[in-house]
Formats: sequence, C-alpha cells, structure tokens
Amino acid sequence: MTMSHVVLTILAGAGAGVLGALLGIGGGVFLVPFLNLVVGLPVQSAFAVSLITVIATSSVTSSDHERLTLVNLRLGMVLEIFTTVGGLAGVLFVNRVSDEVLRSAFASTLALIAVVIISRLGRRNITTDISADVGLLGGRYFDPDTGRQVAYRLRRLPVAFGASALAGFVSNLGVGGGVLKVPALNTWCGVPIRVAAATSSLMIGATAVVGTINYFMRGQIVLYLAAASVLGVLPGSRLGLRIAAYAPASGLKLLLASVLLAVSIVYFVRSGV
Amino acid sequence: VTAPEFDRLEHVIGRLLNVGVALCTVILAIGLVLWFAGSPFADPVIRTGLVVLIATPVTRILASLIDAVRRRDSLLVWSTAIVLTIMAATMLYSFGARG
Repeated sequence: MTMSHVVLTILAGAGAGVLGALLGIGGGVFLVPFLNLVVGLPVQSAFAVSLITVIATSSVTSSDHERLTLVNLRLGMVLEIFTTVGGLAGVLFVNRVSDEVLRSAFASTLALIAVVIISRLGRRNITTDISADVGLLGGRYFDPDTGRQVAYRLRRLPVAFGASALAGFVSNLGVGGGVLKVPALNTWCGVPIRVAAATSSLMIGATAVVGTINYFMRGQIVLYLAAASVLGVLPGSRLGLRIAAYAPASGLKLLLASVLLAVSIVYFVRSGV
Repeated sequence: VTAPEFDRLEHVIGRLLNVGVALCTVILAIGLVLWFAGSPFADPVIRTGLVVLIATPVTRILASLIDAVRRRDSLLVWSTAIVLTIMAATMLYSFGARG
C-alpha cells in the first residue's frame, strides 16, 4: 500500500511541478489536496510535505539563467522581509489551531487566490518609456512578448508589503504564495508579469524555509513521502519551465485562473467546509 | 549599482541553486532506494537530503549578503540580515515548541 503511495506521490509531484513552474505558483496548491485526500496524510503533514517541495520548485525554476536575468533582486530581498515575517506569524498560527481551522484556512486561501486572479484577467500594466526613472526598487528588462525593452517603477509599496506578508503566512499551508504576490505586484504595483513571476519564484524558496524549518523541527515531515514528492517535483518543474518559455503571458494567466478555481471548488466540496 | 556587478551575483546564485538541487536529488534518490530496501539508514539519508534542500535558498541569501557587504549596498545588507535573523528565530522557537 505505502509502496504504491510512493510511486503515486512521485507522479503527483511531477504533475504539480509542471503546473507550478508553468504558473509560477510552486505546485503546492495541487499537492496538498493530493496528499491529504488521496494519500490520507493528516492535514498538517500534507502541508509540511507540500511546503518542502515548494523549495525544490523554487530552486529549479530560479536557477534557469534566462529567468534569473528577469529577477529584480533588490525588490525580492526587501519583500522577503515581509514574506518571512508573515511566515513566522503563520508558524505561530498552525502550531496553535485545530485541524478543522487549518482545513477551512486552506479552502479559503484557494478561494481567495482564485478570486484575485479572475478579478484581474485581461489587465496589463507596464511602463514602456525606457528613459523613465525606475526609482529605488524598479528595473528594466527585455520583454519577449513585444520584443522591446521595458522599464517599470514600483507603485503602492504597502500593497506589495501586505501581499508578501499574506503570501508568507499562507506558505505554512503548503502553498508557495506566489499566486498572491504576482497578481498584486502586477496589478497594483506596476511590476511586469514576467518580472513579478521570476522574482516571486526565487523568493518562494526563502519564504518556504521558515514554515519548513518549523515542520522539520516538530517532526511533521513524512520522510519517504517528502523524498518521493521532491524527486517528482524536480524534473516536473524543469519540464514546466520549458513549456512556459513557449506560452504567452495572457495564456498563462487564463490557465492559472481556471486551474485554481477548479482545485478550490474540489477542495471546498470534499473538505465539507 | 552597475549592471555587470548584478550579473555576477546572478551567476553565483544560479550555480548555487544548481549545485543544491543536484546534491539533494542524488541524496534523496539514494534515501528512497534504501527505504524501498527496508534499510535502517533510509531515514537519516533522506533527512540529510532535505537539509540540503532547505539550506539551498539560505545559502543563496548568504551569498547576497556577502555581495551586498562588499558593494556597501545598505538596503540589501539590512534586508538579507533581517531575513536570516527571522529564519534563525523560527528555528529556535520551533526547537522549543517541539512535542
């Protein structure tokens, strides 16, 4: 029984890796329901195993040279203060509340994520004047969609800080949190979607470290399932990244929204919240 | 901050992430084979692989901190130092909170 679970978990990890890398969300949104509902892990252990694979996805998707050149390192590092503080607050939360509360927190997180994405479909905010002053945290990058150099400036920094803190908090539920940061950075803060996605996928690894340390120290990581999902996620993420290189940004957004809504609905129905 | 300096840091980060991923893949694969074989060494090997995985982003931030100190980029020095401190605080708290 556990043998087939391991094989299934490797496959699920690979699938989550492909989708996670494709959408910049770390794949945890798919792994938690799988581990909790299919494999039958207690909800905290499902979060724990899923969260450790988020680190794997982040390391793989960020090590790609082309993606690293899109990353805004200064912005990412400043936002990581907020994701790790949010992560620590989430640690205090998961260590105190019941499984019931954790299940509804997870279902609400998925619903929130789906709503955020759907509400921003079709929007695109970028400054195309390359001579523009990009400020302390802005930057420039080459956009393959338009074939032009794009400059961007950070707007509404508190929104970016708040979204990062929230992303850090929900990372303890086994979710990368990029699904909250990327739309906020793109829609409200003026960061182009590709830059937001690349910066976020690098940040997610550091953010996930906080929650993972907690689960690791408290012995909630089921070792053989963690090994299986990481070994699935690593090649899966690499494949997802390849596919992502050929998909236009608008297609990515639409796919992201529909997949998340489906997972959210499934989880609401099956968790009986 | 000039572009070439940033490029160098990006190369270092890219290499660190690649090495971390490769190392943890090998260790976890060995661990899982040992687990299939029913070996008592499976757990410590898998645990080691997971520690390598967790250490990868931490090492990336350490590299950013060293780079920031060298370039006297105070924004990056402070942000990396704060993030590393929060990680250390979590470790201390969770160590105390374990069952």
